[in-house]
Amino acid sequence: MTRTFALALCASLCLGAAAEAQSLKAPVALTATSPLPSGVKLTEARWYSEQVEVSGRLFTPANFSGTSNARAVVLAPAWGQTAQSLDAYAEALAAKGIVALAVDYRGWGRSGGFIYLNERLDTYDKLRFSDRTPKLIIRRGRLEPELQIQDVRNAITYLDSIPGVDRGKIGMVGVDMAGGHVISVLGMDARVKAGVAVTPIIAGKGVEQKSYIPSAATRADMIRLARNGAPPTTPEAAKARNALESRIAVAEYRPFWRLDAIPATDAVQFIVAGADEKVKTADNAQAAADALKGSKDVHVIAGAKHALTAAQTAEAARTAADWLASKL
Amino acid sequence: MSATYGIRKAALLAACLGLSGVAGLAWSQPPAAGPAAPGRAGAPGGPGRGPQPGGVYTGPIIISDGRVAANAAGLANQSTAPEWKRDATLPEDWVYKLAEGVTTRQVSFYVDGGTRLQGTLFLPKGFDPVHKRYPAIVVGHGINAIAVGIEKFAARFADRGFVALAIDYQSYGYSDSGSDELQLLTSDDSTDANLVTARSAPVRVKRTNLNNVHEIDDFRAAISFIQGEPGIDPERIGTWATSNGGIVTSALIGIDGRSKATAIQVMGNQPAPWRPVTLTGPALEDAIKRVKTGQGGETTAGFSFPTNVDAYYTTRNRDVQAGALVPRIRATTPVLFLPAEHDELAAGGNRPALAESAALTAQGVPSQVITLPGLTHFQAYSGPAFEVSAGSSADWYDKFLGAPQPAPAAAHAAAAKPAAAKGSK
Repeated sequence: MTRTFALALCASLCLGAAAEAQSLKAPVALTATSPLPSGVKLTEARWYSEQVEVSGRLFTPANFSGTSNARAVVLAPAWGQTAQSLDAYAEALAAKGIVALAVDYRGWGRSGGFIYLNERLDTYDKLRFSDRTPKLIIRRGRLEPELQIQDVRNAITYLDSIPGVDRGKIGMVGVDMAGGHVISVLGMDARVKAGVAVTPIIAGKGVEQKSYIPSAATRADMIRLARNGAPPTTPEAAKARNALESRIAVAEYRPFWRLDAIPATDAVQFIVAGADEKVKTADNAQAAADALKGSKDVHVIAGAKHALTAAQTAEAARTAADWLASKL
Repeated sequence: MSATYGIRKAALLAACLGLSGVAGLAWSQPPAAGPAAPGRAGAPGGPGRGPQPGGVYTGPIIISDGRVAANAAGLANQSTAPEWKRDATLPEDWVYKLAEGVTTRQVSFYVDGGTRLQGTLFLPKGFDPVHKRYPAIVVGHGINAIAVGIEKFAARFADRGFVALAIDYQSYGYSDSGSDELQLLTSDDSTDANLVTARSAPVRVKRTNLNNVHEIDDFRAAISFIQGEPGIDPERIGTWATSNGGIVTSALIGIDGRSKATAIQVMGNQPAPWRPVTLTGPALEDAIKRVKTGQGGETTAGFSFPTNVDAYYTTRNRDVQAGALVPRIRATTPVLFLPAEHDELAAGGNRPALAESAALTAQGVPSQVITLPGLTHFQAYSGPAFEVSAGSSADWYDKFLGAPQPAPAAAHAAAAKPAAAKGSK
């Protein structure tokens, strides 16, 4: 009996380890927000970010092939936005011969959601993989910086896998909170050599670089989450949970502290709104630029509010594409 | 030493040191520019090649190191007697007996959006959550292990009057696998119109996802949980961890200031500037396999509880730059190190601990090193070394967390008359 069990265990183990990966969903045909530049192609890319199947809008330049040795840029959407919001930037880059991949974060757009168990499952650590059919909760709409950053880094790995992409010439564009992620990723991941932060939120200036001590209210939130944080099961609970987790995560997110780690060989451009009502440029983009050792630029879009209009977005896209084309 | 053991050791080192320039399991990072990798100086044999020559502590004496002298004969025997030689801990090293009056309880808590973690709560004799407020210690295990191996430390802290919570990290032991360990085997048709979808669906459940980034979150969730536990003083939480857990907790206290006393056994983290991590060669190819298929290659890791793990861990764990977070540790988080003098895994024996402690002392954080003389890594968990290590840790918590205090009078009244307390809101 013991032996039968051992054999079964061994069989499952071998099966688990050797089993073929699930195939990714077939890409769908995507439509660009505006007519594509001549020769530029838009396709859906699908890959895994950690264990979640995710989606991106992949713009390849004219005559792109496996031998192109092309530069490539990952594009990270603003807080609460999807990949489609970055078409103008991606098209401007592709028009300059750069491969552009705009990302849907996990739980957003065409990407899959976060998976949680909704029942107790007996597992055994030595049986490393087991295929089961438990009750699950799939969560969407979460907004947490460190999760988004990991999505961007996995997207860079996907770019690295594309034949014809030059792995030594990877850049990043991020808007709003993801403008802060540009600083984070440059400070964390040596594969990225240049970045453009559009209307960025780069929290942390003037905050002493010491361990985080949550306010009484945030501490109470953290306690609540740890003690009663089973996955939400209703839309109302999910909405409240997303907001709670996001508030906790944002309160301690300090991309400004990563500036010191960005090497002088990296180039960073900041595109700021001249009349930004949400972010004080002097404490965000300008202060960040001042702290950088390498090539940098601050481009002001005159009169613009934090959320750029279509015309202002076009200006930002042109500016970003010029910068990345010259620096990568 | 067997070949397998050597491989595991190399894997641990790559993950532990978390730096370029250290040989990994199947690949080597090219040597990085900048300061030398920690602890390599003074380690002529190189890491993982038998007992390392340690250094001498010259820093402040904040608590008595008298337990070393008191156990001198036992420690000397442990360092030489064949029956005490250890390449991993053994089941007899995990055994403990609860002191009279100490009780335990299983608890669940949550991390990262809803992953259930499990811990064992150790409560001191006469635990009285109504009338008293207790300091509490979160106790965490080492690389690719489970709490079973270190519960004895939590039991000892409870014997010394503390509440202690020994936890299994995400995807280990009795803790669940989370979002990063559950791969849907069917298509996820959820859309942004549905923030939550409840369904039964086939998933591939992964265990032993050796991810130090998650483990920091696990520790933080445990701190949050225990801060909300009845009878606990949320301002007097401590942490304890061993081996690779000492990288996790050292990073943790650089990130989260809620730990008010920390003890780290058989680990230290040489301070180093933060720098972006490189990803090239076979490690990049493995990362590419992960993004293409959801699963990269596997290797073996761990010593006392070895299993297969993702080879990717040597990449991912480099994101935890504990040495770069040392300057962020506050003076309100005193740190005691309990390294083994001849630690064969931490290159340079006890030197990484000496270096981290010296840096902390220089920046005004109370810190001390009590070295386990003559010993190697896996000898710290049992015998006289356990008495010195666990006992000195508890001394450190005594010094910086103190004894249980009377609960505020209002709390008694609320506990005694729950209905009235509700009504008064």
